[in-house]
Amino acid sequence: MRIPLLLGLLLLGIFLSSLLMEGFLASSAVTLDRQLVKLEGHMVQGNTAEAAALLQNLQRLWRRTEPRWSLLTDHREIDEIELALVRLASYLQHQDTAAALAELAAVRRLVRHIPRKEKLTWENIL
Amino acid sequence: MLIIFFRTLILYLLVLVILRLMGKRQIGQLQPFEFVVTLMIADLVAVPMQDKEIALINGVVPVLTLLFAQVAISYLSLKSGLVRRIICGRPSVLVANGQIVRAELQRNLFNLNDLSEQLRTKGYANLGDVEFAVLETNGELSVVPKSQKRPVTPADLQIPTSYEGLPLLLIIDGKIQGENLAKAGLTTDWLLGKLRESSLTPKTTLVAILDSQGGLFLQKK
Repeated sequence: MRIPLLLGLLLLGIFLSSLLMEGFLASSAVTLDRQLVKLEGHMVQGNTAEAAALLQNLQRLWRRTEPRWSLLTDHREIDEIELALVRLASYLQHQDTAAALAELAAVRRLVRHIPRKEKLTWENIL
Repeated sequence: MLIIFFRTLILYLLVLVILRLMGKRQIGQLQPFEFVVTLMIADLVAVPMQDKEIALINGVVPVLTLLFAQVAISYLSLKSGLVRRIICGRPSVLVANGQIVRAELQRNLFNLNDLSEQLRTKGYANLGDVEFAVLETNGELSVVPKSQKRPVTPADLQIPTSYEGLPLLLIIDGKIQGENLAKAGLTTDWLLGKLRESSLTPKTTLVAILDSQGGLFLQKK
């Protein structure tokens, strides 16, 4: 009886931690994406000062999120987000709005892709 | 995390099925090519198991291909002596009529120390006791001792013996094995009666074994 109980607990542990992980990835991705959408709005409207301030907030938020994501997901994609954010900051600094918007679109796609990739679906399993 | 969990589960079940389909031989009895196939299967499933970037099908198809090749070669070996000789090789007689066959030892890269070691593990410390030693195709050494050195059998002593069949397990861990009861031509009522004589029930019995002489061995849980 002890072995089935231990197996059940192990299974429950795997399922619960996995659900928590999925939930955390989804909610933090939504938070990051909201910031990115705001940043996009400021860039489109040409509010450079607000965009720069928002980018700093975004970078702070990313620095808090990144270590946790590193524990849960593929490091390659995290590195890609990191690099894209650096490029985005550089484009903004040099007021290259078109390139900055393109980079921002790439960051948004990467951020939204991570929770999608970790979601329990048949496509992801197979 | 759950994705890896389910991928692992799927691949584990696949390997389980594949190994069952490949036959019942133990690792030690595998032919060299079968051993290599088993290692390859283990390696092939390990990669997609942990790497979510690889589609599961990329792990499954090579494993199924290996199963196909393995079963096909085993079938051909079964049907054709020539294929068997090509794939598995031939047994090598390392000791013939009490004499070491040096040419065969060299051909198999088997030195005298290896031979002595293998003979010792088979219970023959003295090479002089061995009439024949054959290195089988799976790497096992079969030993035929000299007639004076082999264990005495009842036939040597002309002692009559009665038939000894396979003992039948009638209860395993409290569960009655109906198939074995039928094989022995007995009924559940007979078994329950025997258990009652020993103040037992099927649930309280760990094991019940019927030998070919009709003796019933019972052990309480």
